[in-house]
Amino acid sequence: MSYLAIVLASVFSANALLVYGFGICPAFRKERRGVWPQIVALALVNLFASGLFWLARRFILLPLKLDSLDVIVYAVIIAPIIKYLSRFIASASSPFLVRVGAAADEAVMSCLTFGVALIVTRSDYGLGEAVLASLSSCVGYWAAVMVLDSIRERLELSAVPPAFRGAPGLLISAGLMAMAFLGIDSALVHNLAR
Amino acid sequence: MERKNAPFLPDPVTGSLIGLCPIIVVTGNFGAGVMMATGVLVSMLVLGATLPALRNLFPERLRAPVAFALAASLSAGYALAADAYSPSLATLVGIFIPLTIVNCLVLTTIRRGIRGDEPFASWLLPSAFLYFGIIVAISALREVAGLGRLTLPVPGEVPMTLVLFDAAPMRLLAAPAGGFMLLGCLAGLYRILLRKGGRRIP
Amino acid sequence: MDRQNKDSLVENLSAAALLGLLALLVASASFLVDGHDEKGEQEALARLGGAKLSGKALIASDSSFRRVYPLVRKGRPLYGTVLSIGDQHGKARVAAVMTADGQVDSLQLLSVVPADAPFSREGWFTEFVGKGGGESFPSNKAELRRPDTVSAATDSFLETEEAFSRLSGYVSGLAGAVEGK
Repeated sequence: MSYLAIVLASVFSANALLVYGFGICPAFRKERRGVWPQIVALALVNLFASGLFWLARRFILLPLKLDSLDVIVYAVIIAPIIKYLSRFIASASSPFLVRVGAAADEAVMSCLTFGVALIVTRSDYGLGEAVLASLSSCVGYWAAVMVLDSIRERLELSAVPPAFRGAPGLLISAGLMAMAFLGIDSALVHNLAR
Repeated sequence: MERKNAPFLPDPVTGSLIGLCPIIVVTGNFGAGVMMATGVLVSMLVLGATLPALRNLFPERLRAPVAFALAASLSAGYALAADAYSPSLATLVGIFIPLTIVNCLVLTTIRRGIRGDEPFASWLLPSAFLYFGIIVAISALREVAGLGRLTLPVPGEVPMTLVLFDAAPMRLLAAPAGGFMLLGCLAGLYRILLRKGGRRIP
Repeated sequence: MDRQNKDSLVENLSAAALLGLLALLVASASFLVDGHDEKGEQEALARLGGAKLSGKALIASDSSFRRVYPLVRKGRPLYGTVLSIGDQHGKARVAAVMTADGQVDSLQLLSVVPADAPFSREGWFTEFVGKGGGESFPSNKAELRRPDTVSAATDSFLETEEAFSRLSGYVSGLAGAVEGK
């Protein structure tokens, strides 16, 4: 696949939130630590998680036929490394970096980070392609979350039945967005970027 | 105002809205949904049984790494067992078996287990079995109403499919979009039941 | 070394030992399951190709095929593998025997699990190879650009085409390496 096809597929036809359902719980959370610290944290965590996981799987686990241990390697080695890095960033003097570190600390053991890492390492990508796919998935996830946030604001001002206020209404809205994404055929994306 | 005999249970999926990540994709197929839900149930029960012992054996600084290693081993072992049981269903569930270790319910089990939060067993057992029950119910509903068939979780190379209708009644229900909308409707229905029972909405 | 450091060391070593034991248990289980899978694959491929195994399985780091088995039929080298083709719309397991120049010798569908694929009685080829325009499936990639060929079935056509292209390239590379020796 070309790099453009990887970006388009990761953002649209294989959107982490609307197609795979990764990161639903934080997406529906109202309070955020600021948009930019969250975006930077998510990008950093995914970059390191996917990159390190790809290297571990390709150069250590697969040659030794130990690919079934990839989950253990992620949980015991890679996640603690990234947590350590996030705490190192959080110990900086800049308030922006403190918020980035705190957001990154939360994002390490989340299905978004681990799910994207699993998808990109189990596909036939090289290291550069895997990292690009991972970062593009973050962009796609964050774009979907931004749209859902603005939908949430509109729903709060609308006359929604009490039982559907908050998360239920937002889930139905996410479903309608996902329906729009169903129309983005991955074969078309693949061919457009050929 | 609380009524004592309210007709509902504290369901983690439609009530507290946790553990939703695998539901959207995997529950489009009944066999895959049962396989994934069984993985979460087994992880929670085994962790629930072993984490109290871990508290006595290891100091606080080592409990989290050992607990996560145990959860990861359970997930990896379950992936192998699922592959041996039904390779077709296991490939369909795919990455959602390893993702068990980052399931919110499993993470909550680990946190409560290593901190020694009470109540533990009285929280763990209803949550685990309710999660299993609701996932199985959603999977059955999505595949029958969505595709008009039911893929049974039987062992073997070839999955057994019961064809119930000649054509797919509502294909959207089996797609991720339908999963989101169904979850939203079930959550809304749960809130209606809570209100009728005079309980607080979580 | 004072007592506190000694206790810490013992605790750390116990935790490491437990982690090692867990990893060993999972690795052992995976070797057992892999061994069982390998045996099943070898039998299916030997039956399909009417060939005998001529060497140890080669490990390919590909998402669609893990093990490639060298086979021999009447002195002619062949390569067999079991592919897992598909995406979130459905999966198929296919046994394939390839000739040394990367051409398909024989194929057998082992199982198919259509997740949300259209209900169809036409069999796996139209499900997984694609439905496009007036033809049963597009004869080349250019036809995929036409609006009437864009459908969920063409995802599986691309997946299948790409998986077999990679397998063909891998097998040709293997055969070339053997000839070079």
